[in-house]
Parts: sequence; structure tokens; C-alpha cells
Amino acid sequence: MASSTVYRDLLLHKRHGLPFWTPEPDANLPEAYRDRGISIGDLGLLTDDGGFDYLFNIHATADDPVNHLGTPTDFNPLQKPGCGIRKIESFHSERSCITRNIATRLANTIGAGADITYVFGSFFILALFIFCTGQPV
Amino acid sequence: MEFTVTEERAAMLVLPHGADRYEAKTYQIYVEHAIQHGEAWYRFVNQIQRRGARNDSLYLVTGCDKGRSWGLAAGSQLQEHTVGFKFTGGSLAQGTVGFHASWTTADGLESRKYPRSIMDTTARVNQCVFARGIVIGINENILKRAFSGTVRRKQIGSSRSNPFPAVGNRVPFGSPPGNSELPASAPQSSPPRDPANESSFGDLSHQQQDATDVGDSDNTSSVIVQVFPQYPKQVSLFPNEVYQLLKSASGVESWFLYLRISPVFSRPPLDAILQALI
Repeated sequence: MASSTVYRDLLLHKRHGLPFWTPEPDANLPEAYRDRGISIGDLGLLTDDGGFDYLFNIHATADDPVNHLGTPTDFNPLQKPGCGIRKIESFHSERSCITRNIATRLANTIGAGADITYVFGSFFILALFIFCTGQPV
Repeated sequence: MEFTVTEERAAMLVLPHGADRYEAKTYQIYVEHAIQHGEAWYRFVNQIQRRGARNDSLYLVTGCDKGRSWGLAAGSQLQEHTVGFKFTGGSLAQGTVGFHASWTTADGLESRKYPRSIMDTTARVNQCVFARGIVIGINENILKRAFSGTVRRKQIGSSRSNPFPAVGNRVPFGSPPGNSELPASAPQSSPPRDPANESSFGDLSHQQQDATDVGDSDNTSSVIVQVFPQYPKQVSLFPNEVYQLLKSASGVESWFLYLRISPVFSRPPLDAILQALI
């Protein structure tokens, strides 16, 4: 089984959404699209290598740079709901790990002089220790 | 960071800068829009753009989690071993050039990362690690009617090779107008929503029950949309269920309580609430 399939099937259980094996925007898409990446209102095709093949955005007008690849002839953008998008900053915190079938992990070496060790059980965080070693990275 | 693989199949995602969540609240507008335009979108994709898009592969994004950097890895037929993911340099807060990430190699484990090199910028929050949205499909009965009498369908290959969500083997409107022949099915595909497919997804079955077929799967509706994966969503716990739990945990006879929780961590919060109350 392809690793991208394993990745999708296992992390789907974490109930964050459909996990993409290729989170980066298509490098051949216009700069306007690459700046923002996948966004609400994007229409695309799910690919079996774990990616999203972007077509157009239903909120953008036909002449918007992000709709450079073309839109259907009778295309009418759907008005973006004013306050209709919920945004949660750092929903996943810095250095967060989302794993499956990973029992233990020990981590260190982030930032200047701080070593952080995580000890994780299968489902719950058991402990978080922070050691300040003062060692340069 | 070091990870110890414990099972034959394992997957991991690291988000050095974290990620923001975006979620459309006006969900129903997207569902209705997809039902209204789904057929035109398939016609555009397959007749104009000639993409050969298979049924149920069209996806409308209604929510996404985006970050600046990531490392991800997965594999099957793994043996117990430890792999490392390391990231150094640059400022986590500002996100600039100079941030470096690397995986230690491990047999059987495939890994990817962003930024790929120290020259890549992490200034843009444009890396989508999770998406939530709507899978759009064309009612196969409508397709059959459109190509009446000439439908051919091959069913070869293992269900495990079938992409998920169960992408169909037909290419809706794949033939030029006027040509009544439907293209031969993709040989590696099996029929969509074959119950056998679900065996490889284990305890995902409850999520598939969550999924809503807004369109009818009969002859009357041409577009079928399926919310996938259907979370986060609001969930109501039956007050009675909560009452029973509270009663057994605390011995208190009468409670009136109504909870709405996100199913993202559906079980632990209830325990946490009980702990807090007792």
C-alpha cells in the first residue's frame, strides 16, 4: 500500500479532516494562489497520491488571478459570507505532533538553548518536561 | 523529535509552527451550491478541460488547517524502530528563510517535509495539512440514462487499491456530446461504496454513518453530495445519557444538564467534565 494511502487512512482517525500527503500548493499555479494555498471555496479533484488538484475557487470572480486556470462558461461566484468563516489561530500549537501507532517519542533540539522532551502514550500526553541546557543549537 | 514506531503501519505529522484552523459556518450554502452546480462542474472538468475526473473525486473545500511548515511520514510493513525529525534555525514566530527541517531515514518509512531547503520561506501560511469539505458525485443512474444501453463496466482489481473517499470508476460526461459510448472503466478500480472497501478502514465505519447523502441515490437527483469528513460539527449528547453517567459517578439523584461538544475529541471531554463536576 502506498505510504500516502497509509498516511491518509491512519490520520483520518484523528478527526481533524482529510490529511494531505502534499500540503504544499501546486508549484505551477499562479503566485496569487501559491500565496494562500488551499482555501475555503476551492474546488478541485482529490488525487490518489494524497493531494488536491485545484480547479477554481467558487468565491473568486472569473478574472481573479486564482481562477487563471479557467471557470465554467456560466460561472457566477458565490458571495463570500461576511463573518461566515471561523478562524482559530494556532489550533495546532507550535511543535505539535499528530501521530498514529507511535507509542513513545522523545524530543529535543528546538530553538536557542531549550530542550523539550515529550513523553507520549498512545492517546494521551503523559508528561511534558522542559530542560534548559543553555546549549546552542 | 524522535518517534518509535509500534505497529506495522504508522503515520505522523509534525507542525513546527503549528497551524490555524478555518471553518465555513454557513455550511448549508455550500451544500446547496454543490447540488446546484455539481453537474455543470463535472461537465466543465471532463468536457472542456478533458481531465478525465472520476466520479466522486470532485471536492469542495469548506474548512482547512494551514501552517507554515511540516514534516510528515508514513509507512506499512514497518518494524519497531525509532525515527527522528529535526528542525533548526529561523524564528518560529516570524517565519523566514533559514528554517531547516530534516528526517532521519528509516527502512520502509516514506517522509516529506516543508521547507524543503533552507532557502524556502516560511513566511506564508499556505500549507494545508487537513481539509474538510464536500465530495460531489453524479448519480450513476443518471449517467446510465444519459448513455442508455451502452454502459460497460469492468470490475477488476482489489478493493484496497480504491482511493478513499470511494472514488468511482466512471468519468462523468467523459465522452464528447453525441457520443453515446462511455469510456471503459479504469481497470484498477472497483465499484464505489463497495462494502468490502470499508474493511480496510477499521473503526472509520462510524464516520461513514455520520456522512450525509444530501441528494437521493435514486433516479430523481443528478448530483449526490457527501460531507467528508463531517467534522467538526456540533453534537448533542442526550441529557439522559449524561444524567446516567453523573448519577453513577456521583450518587446525586437529580441533574439537569445539556452539553454540546465537538466530536473532535468526543470521549475525553465528557470524562473531563465529570471530573470537574465531582
